[in-house]
Parts: sequence; C-alpha cells; structure tokens
Amino acid sequence: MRLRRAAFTEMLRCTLLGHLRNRMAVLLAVVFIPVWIAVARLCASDQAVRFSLDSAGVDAQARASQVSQVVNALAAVTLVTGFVMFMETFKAGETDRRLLLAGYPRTWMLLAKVTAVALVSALLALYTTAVLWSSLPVSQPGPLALALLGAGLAYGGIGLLLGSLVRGELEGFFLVIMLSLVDTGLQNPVFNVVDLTGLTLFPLYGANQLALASAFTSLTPWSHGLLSLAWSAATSALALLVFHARTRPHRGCVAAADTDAPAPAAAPSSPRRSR
Amino acid sequence: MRTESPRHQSRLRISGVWKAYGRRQVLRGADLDVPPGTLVGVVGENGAGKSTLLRIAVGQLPPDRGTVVRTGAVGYCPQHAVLNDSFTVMQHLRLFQVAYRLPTLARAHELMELLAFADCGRQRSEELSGGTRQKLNLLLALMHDPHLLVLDEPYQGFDWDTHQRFWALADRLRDEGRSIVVVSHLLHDLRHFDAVGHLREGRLDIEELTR
Repeated sequence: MRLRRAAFTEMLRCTLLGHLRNRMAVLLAVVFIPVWIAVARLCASDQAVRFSLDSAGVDAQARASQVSQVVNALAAVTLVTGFVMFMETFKAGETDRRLLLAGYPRTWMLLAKVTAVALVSALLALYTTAVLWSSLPVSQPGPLALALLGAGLAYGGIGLLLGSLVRGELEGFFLVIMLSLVDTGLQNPVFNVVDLTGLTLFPLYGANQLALASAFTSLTPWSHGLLSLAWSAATSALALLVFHARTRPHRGCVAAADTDAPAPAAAPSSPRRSR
Repeated sequence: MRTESPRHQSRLRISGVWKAYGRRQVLRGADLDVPPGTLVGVVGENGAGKSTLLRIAVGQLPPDRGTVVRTGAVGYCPQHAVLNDSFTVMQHLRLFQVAYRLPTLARAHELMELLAFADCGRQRSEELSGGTRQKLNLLLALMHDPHLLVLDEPYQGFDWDTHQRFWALADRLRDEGRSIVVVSHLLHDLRHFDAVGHLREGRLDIEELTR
C-alpha cells in the first residue's frame, strides 16, 4: 500500500511540476485563453443570434460576440489541454517505458497521469470561467465551469491517446489543432452550420451544449456534460491500452528464480518459451 | 563461458536468438552465457545488432525466435540517455527509487559522488551537458546494485577521468560477483573483459581473454 501511494504521489508530483516548467504550456494557458476570448468580444458583431439548443430542447438568443466568446473559450481550453497532455505523454514515453521495465507499478503510474489531466483541466476550467464571467453576463457560472472542465477532460484524454500513439511531435500537434478547429468550428452556432446529425458524435458536443445553456439560459442539461466524461474515459482507456500493449512482457524471455539473489527488479517476463 | 552449478547458474543466458526488422535479418541464432563475476564485452560493426541484442537481453524487445533467461535484478543502461527533460536529477532518482523498491538513495548519492556530478541534483536533465546526462543514464542502471548489468556504450561523452572511474567501478563490481555485459567500440577497453563476443553476421563468436 505504501509503495502504491509512493508510486502515485511521486509520479503525480513530478508530472505536475513538469507541466509548470513547460513555459510554452503556461504561456498558452495564462495568455492565450483571455486573448482568444477578447478576440471574439472585439471582432464578432453585437447582433443578436438565435440558435437552437438540442440539449435543452429550446431556442436561445444572445449577442453573436457573447456566443463567440463562449465558443472561443471552449476552443482555447481544448487546444491547451490537448497540447499539454500530448507534449507530456510524448516526451515522457521513453522514460516511462524505462521506469516500467525497472519495476514501476504500471497502474499507479497511469492513474497519476490521468489525475494530472483532471487537475490541469479543473484549474483551466476555473480560470477560463473567471475570465468569461468578467467579460459577459453568465447565467450559471458553476455549470459553465463544469462544461469547460468536460471539454478539457475530453481533449486531455485525446492528448494522452495521441501522445501514446503517434511517432512524431509535428503529427501530434497537427492532429490536436485540426481536431479542435474542426470540432469547435462545426459546433459554433454563430456559423449556423446545417443540421448535421453526426455533430453529436464529436468530442466537444456535450460540453458545448452545456456551456451555451449555462451561459445564456437558466436550463442545465447535465446529461450532455456526461458526454465529455464518456469521451475522456474512452480516450484515456484507449491510451492505457496502447501503453499496456507497448510495455507488455515479451515471448521468449524468462526471469529465472535466483538461488543467491533477490527477485528481479527489472524485466517483466512471461514464462513462455519461444515459437 | 558455460560454468554451471546450482549456486552459480548463468545470470544471463541467450540461446539461439533471431531478430529481423522487416526483411533485414539482424540476429541469426545468437548465443551468450554470462556467469556471476564476469565482465563480457560485445563488439561489432555499426548496425551489426549489438543494441538489438542488449534490448532483447533485458526484455525491452521480443526476439523472433530463441530464448533469454535472466537471473536476479537487472540494470540496463541504454545507448542514448533515456531521461525525462522536464524532471530534475533528484526527481529521476526518486522515481527509480520507487521502481526498484529502494528504502534509501544512499547508493545513488555515492554513485553521484563517484561520477562527479553530486552538485547537479536540482538541475533538470535538459540543462545537463551531454556527458552528465550519460552519467545519470548510467546511474539509473546501477543505483539498485543489480546482479546483472547490461550497458550499451555507457561512457559516451565521458571525460577521461570519468571514463577511468567507470572502468574501476566495473572491475570492482565484477570482483564482487556482479555480471556485466558492455557494448564497446574502444580497443583499449578490451583488457577489462573476461571474454569478448564478436557479433558477426548475426551470431556471437566468443573469445575468452586472459586479464
């Protein structure tokens, strides 16, 4: 139990400190989010737009600039969490595999990483809600923060998955940016995109519906917030699966019992013979 | 190298290992036995498959055919420093302390003194020089005092003094009964080895040396 706790807390502490030392990530979080919200406030028109909220089954009305601020806030949160989690997972991959080979408890390492995603997403959600609240009249700040947390968790999970899957840094960046741009672009009610049934399958759909309803109505479609959690859980689980597959014990390797040595500290092995 | 008794079984036995990358066959039935208290060198041309053999030996890579049997704790030092650039030296030590289930970091601190980078504990690994990164890379393989050490060109970037200290340490560990496999390119390292495995056309030809 003591080992598990040490494995979890040490990895969580190192991962969070690693995020703090990532200057690009901190700069993105502190500067990019308010700047991107300000861009929407300054550039979008003040004309009222009417849009349908499938989640609440009603039509809502708000200024285009205000809707754009909420949508841009979601886009910024998804980009930052996706980018941060991808970078961390990608950069740490080789060392994590070395740690596992040395005997680091796998489950607790992975739980620490998922917890780091949750903590970073929660911090970003609180910060973004505060920025939005200071910029426009938000009807329900609590549910709005939860929607932003859901968006962060969904894209944090995607970053985690891409970090374990792709071979090149550039591929990962491109995929995170492309997915976030397409997702936020299609979900933006100001663009008045044709009614696509497939939109509900995108990672941001649930968070977007909950955020818009929380910002501009008194309705709170909680169930839609759960869609983000489902996305986060699915992508994190897939990332864990990829991680497990890449670090599983190999055929043909045996750690024999030692007569004059302690148990092996490295090299997970399966007692199967070669083909 | 086949001295066998119940008490002194091989620490590492590689038998008939084959490995291919796509169509390129790298290993073609390589065999190696490493008993306790021996220092074995592995030499060969670039691309001969030395690193592949070592990665298979520690269980990082699966062989296509053949078996690997290891006995006791293993310490593996990869050819290129495998470190997390966001973490400090001390954070690396604490994470590997958990991995190796070590009660203290006393031996790690001794090794830091020995390898002359004891003052780098608070530095992030990306701030370290190439030689110091390699020292940390090596230390992570040694800090739990394993019975089998598998070192892939562990002294790249070391200055001459550190290079000499490394060999003094390797000799001492061998005399204490540890088994050590080192990939080397340097002719003047040969005098340290009890045996040298020449990797040619995917097979290891073992040459016993008298020190």
